[in-house]
Amino acid sequence: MSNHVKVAVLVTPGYHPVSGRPRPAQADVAALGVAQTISTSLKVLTAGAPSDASLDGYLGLGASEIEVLGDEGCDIVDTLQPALSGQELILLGGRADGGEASGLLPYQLSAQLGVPLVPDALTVKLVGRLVRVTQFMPKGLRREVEVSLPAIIAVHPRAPINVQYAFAKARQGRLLRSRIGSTGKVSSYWQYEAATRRPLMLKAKLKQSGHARMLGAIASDDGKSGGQVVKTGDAVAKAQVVLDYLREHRLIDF
Amino acid sequence: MVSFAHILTGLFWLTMVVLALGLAKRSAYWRQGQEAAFSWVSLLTVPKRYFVDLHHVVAREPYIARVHVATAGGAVAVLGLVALNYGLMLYQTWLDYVILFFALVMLAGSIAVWQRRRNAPSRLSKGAWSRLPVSLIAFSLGTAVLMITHATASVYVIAALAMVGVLLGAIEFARGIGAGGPMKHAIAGLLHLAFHPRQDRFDGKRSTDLKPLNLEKGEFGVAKPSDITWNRLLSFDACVQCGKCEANCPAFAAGQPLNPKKLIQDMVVGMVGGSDASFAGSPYPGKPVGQHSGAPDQPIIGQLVDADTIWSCTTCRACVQECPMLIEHVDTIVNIRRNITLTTGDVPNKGAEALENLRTTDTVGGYPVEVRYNWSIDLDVPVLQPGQQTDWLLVAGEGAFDMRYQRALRALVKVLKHAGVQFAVLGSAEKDCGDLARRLGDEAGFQRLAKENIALLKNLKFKRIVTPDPHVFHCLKNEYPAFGGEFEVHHHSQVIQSLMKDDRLRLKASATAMPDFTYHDPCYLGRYNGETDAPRNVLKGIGIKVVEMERSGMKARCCGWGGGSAFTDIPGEARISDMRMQDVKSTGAAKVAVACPNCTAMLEGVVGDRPDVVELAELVAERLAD
Repeated sequence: MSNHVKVAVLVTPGYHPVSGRPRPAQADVAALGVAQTISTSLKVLTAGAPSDASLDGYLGLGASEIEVLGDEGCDIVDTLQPALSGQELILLGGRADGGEASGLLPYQLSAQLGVPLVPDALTVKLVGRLVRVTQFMPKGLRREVEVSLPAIIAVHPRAPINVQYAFAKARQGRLLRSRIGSTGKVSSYWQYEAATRRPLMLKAKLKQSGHARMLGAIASDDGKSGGQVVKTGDAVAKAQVVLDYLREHRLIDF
Repeated sequence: MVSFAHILTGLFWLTMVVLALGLAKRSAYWRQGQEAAFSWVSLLTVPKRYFVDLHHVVAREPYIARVHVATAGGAVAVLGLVALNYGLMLYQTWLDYVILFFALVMLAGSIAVWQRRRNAPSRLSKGAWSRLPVSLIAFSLGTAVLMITHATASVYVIAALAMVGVLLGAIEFARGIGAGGPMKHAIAGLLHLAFHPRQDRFDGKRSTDLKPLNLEKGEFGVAKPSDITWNRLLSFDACVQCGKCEANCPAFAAGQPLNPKKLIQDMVVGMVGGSDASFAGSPYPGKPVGQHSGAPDQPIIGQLVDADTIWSCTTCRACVQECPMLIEHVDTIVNIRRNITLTTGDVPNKGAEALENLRTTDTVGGYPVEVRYNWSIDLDVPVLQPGQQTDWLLVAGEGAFDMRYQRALRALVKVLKHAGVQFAVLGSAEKDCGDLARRLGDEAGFQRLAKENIALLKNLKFKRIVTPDPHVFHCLKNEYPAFGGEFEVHHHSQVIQSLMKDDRLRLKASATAMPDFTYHDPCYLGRYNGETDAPRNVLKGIGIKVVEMERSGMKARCCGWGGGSAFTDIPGEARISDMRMQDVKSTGAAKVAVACPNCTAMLEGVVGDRPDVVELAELVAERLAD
């Protein structure tokens, strides 16, 4: 853990997909969690007019202060740019739950600040002035890349993190609101429309009770049903059985 | 020349001085704790609480109760009479004979204690506790010998030996208090009865509700021993290490790293400072003793107690129910959980996800609240609107999202309709009651839900609430009043019972004999609310014979769900639900009746050949004549 590198985290308001209630965006939560493994003093920023309820989540996850820049309808990139100019490492979620924070923002910031961008980061490690990043790739593949500071890192929502919401942290955390950086340029060219979903008929394939199906699926000692219980052998031998099973069912080695 | 009688006088007063010093030392430990409201007047209530409330618990084991009456009663009588005869220097011979009588009573009790210790059950602590019967026998025997010789002793050797015995007992008693020996329970126990943190337990109330935290004032539970209120620290000193809590703890039996007795002793270690190496009972399963230590101002979690110990508890209250010293284990566990959850959020496994779901969707499973009553779409169940009125408000709870439990809910609706009960549901306005959040220590989440629910319910016109979920039942009935929500809440077993009593259910004449059933008592209905009769009466009313499990009613074993255990899921050697199903099997009953959505889920989750799990309302609905 090195504290001499200035680390900034960008967060955005998110929405729960089921209830529609404001909450942190999951990719930004991952960015905050990854940032906490790098530095203990983070500059946490957001731009626009997020609701307190959506930022409360980030405070509860350990952001002690969040600077809220700009205003309703401000241009996010223009607003963030001056505040980020001195930062050496900028982390943000690769994709937020909506609005201008989604998708393009990391690239726009990268272009405007003239700083390299590493997308889809899972783990981030500082080695001197180098940042070693494990990238998420499809089908379980991973790639390690190195980039020198300053850099922008867009974190993948599946990054393994260890932060959890705590009420006391949310209460201690503060929101700092400032109007600086607002250009007043409105760039709301988004159109919103309701998603449509076709109803799916649920049909049971087998007319068996849940208990009977459970019995068929689980392993038991008598070897009659489901699978196989391995109780003998060392860890390697047991792992081999699992590996063989996965190979047999083509669940690995594509 | 100084006679033995004078030595006895001196010894008596020396004992009293040592006792007073010990008490001062011990109370200094207790005073490290936080303030708690109390009144000195409650000292006057001790005799009644000792002879009635405490006796009711101890008398469940008649042998031990009688042994204790002989030993403690004898000891108190001997001490009192010695105080009179020798303390006040009366030296009356006839009083000696009275003392002799009580010394012999105590001796008989002490020998019985010694006998029991020879084949001690594993739940009893060894160590200093093994020494105790010897000290008791030495004291009572020594006193008896001295009284026979009237402490004048023609044979000096015998009298001197007897005096050594008396001295041994006096040391055990007087030093024991200050030094934290076994006999500290005598004084701490009596004071604990007076200053018990749940005074309404003695007014005939069950007092099973958790007490609210003042979050505005920054009360975030217990992080270190000195955060505990002084009267709870005192209660830890009252523990006699009898291990009844251990014997009844489902988590301990399942090999999860929890032993309520060890936890209370760890709290004593934390209060005094030091390590747990001298603990002489069963350890937390899988955790050797001697590797943890604590101090009053050091954090409990990580040093003194591991977090998985705290998360193993199912809050089933079996330990509290069994404790002869009326110690409140569950309060301490939840208070420690509260600190973990509120300050770090470090809730294991799916617990954190469940709390997150409650925060963002008001349901434990993260479901849309709009679909909570989808199971009732074809049943034409009215949704209560503001301005309308109904007799009964049916609150389904989280079980409404579970496809297994929806069958039970539909059966309940059928029964209510059959009896012509006027009822309605909350529909999409219904939020989780907050029970899970509270047991997992998320007091903030619970208070938000409780306040929102109370505001919602107060806006509606209904007479009574009925719910098939004992957790909702307990929460609404016992925990909402602290936030201004006073409602009349009934469990569906109680409602069906009263419908039967009023002859509002017409039953089919039974064609085939019903198989033998056993009934599994949910902790939150039985131990938390004392309701063990209504479900049995309902089963009896529809002609079902209940074969009782060995652990049933107020002694029932938990299903393993409560206290968020199904979510925190601390591994052990067995699963509590499997053990409960073993209890069911051992009765030979073909089916088990349940009255809680969570017990249903836990018992249904048991794999292998097992009796069927049937909900109470389903059984009644099946038997309705229509």
